[in-house]
Amino acid sequence: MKLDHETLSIIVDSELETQDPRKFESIAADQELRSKWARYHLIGDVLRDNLTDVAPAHIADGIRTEIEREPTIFIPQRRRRSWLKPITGLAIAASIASVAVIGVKRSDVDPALSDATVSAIPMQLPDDQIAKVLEEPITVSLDDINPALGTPHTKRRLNGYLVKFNEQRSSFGVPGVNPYVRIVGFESQ
Amino acid sequence: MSLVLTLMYESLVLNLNRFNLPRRPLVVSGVALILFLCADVAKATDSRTASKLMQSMRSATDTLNYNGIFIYQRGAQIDAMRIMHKFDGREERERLISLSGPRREVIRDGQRVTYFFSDDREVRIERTEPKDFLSVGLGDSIEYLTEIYTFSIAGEDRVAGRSATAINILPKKRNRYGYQLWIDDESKLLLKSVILNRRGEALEQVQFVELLVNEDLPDVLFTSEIEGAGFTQYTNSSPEPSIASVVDSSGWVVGWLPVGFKMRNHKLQTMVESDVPVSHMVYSDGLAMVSVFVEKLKARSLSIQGFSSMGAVNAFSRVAENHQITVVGEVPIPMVRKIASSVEHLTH
Repeated sequence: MKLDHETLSIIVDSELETQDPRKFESIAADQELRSKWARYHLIGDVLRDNLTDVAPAHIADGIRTEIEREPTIFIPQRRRRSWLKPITGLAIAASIASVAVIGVKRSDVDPALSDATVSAIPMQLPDDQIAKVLEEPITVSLDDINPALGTPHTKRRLNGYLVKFNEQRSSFGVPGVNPYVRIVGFESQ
Repeated sequence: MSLVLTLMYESLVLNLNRFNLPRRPLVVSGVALILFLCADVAKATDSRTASKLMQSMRSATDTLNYNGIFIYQRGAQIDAMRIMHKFDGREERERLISLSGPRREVIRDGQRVTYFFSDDREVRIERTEPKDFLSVGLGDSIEYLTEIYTFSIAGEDRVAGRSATAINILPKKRNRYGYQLWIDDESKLLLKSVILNRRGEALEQVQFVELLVNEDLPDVLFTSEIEGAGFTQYTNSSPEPSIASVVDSSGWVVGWLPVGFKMRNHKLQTMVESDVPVSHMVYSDGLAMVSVFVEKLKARSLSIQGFSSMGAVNAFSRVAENHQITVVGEVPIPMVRKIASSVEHLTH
């Protein structure tokens, strides 16, 4: 199966380990997808401030070149109180955005998460490292996606649930993100 | 733990003696053991210090006056917001304002919460439950939480020009997210928080860039400048009563939850633009929270199925016996799905 860029973007976006090696074989086999994979991760890491000083210079050069090639476009965006994006509308850029509607199949094996896993912040960069990432078995399946996910009714409903969830969170005073912050910061589309 | 190690050490001594080995390695392993035990003690002290700090943080958040600007980031989306908080000894007042994008505000005055959404020309007034001021995460003891998470002091750092102590709260299993909290050394307010997935990547982050503590904040600062003329107003004046029973009247139950999750609340709620009551079951392990919603479907065409997410909050929806089931939680995607799949109707 040939993966399109949207699917790649979803895989990069998601925190999922999948169990279908075919998807990853198809990324590994495609030079363009492979470099996109690296680039998306790099963009994500830059945004999350995860890069250490050891990032190879050619990567930075590559980003600079890419940025220079990109036209600068300023678009006034109308923001909506929606936290949901339909799968069909997922742009490539969604690989660095937090909102994605995705279908997943994965088993729930839970080996203990060691401190080292979390403190060693991953840095996906050169091709030889990508190969290692691809070796992890992963399955992403889009079977679960309902086309109705993008409808106004669905968005309203899910937003309603999100508000109710956050209201409960606020009365418990659990540390982390102040629940009202999530309500004020509903996604832009 | 120590007992187990002592037993292990003794059996090691016995085994080595049996093989008539030189005693020197035993001294080495003895020293290693002592170091190991010290590390164990240090860990326990660390989690006590961390939990004490979190307790101070909670009380500082609720009882201090402060005024600050922070950024809220999830993925590529970044927003700036201002928060103002005041406590008069009895009640809290809080105002949260978006500084980027459309004007939105939340004003909390005791238990009354007003949401202003100028982009949707909507005002919502809700009454919340009283805050539980003294609890450490839902009143759970640190011993309970340390079975699920590892608490540690990550070190000293600087946020918003203030020195802070960073705490790591990492899940022992990968069915939870991790938290990193930066707590102001002086005021004990939370200066930065990050929710991490199991690869250590930040899913959601809040970070102050400016914070003034113990300022005099006049009441006028806690009224909205959004006029609200022509806005649609939704008012929910009384908090919905909780349902005492774990099984709701229609007999829906949650069959599976990650270890450590307990039911915290159960209510029948009404949603905006719908007259069908929604059964809302709230579960938490003391840090992470999961909501399970069950409602009767008016029409099959209105059903929702599949995943959705925002920052560290994930949702999974499915339909069973003409009911819409949606699980929303601050846990990894496979967990919301597994919980949603376990929701079933009890037939008597």
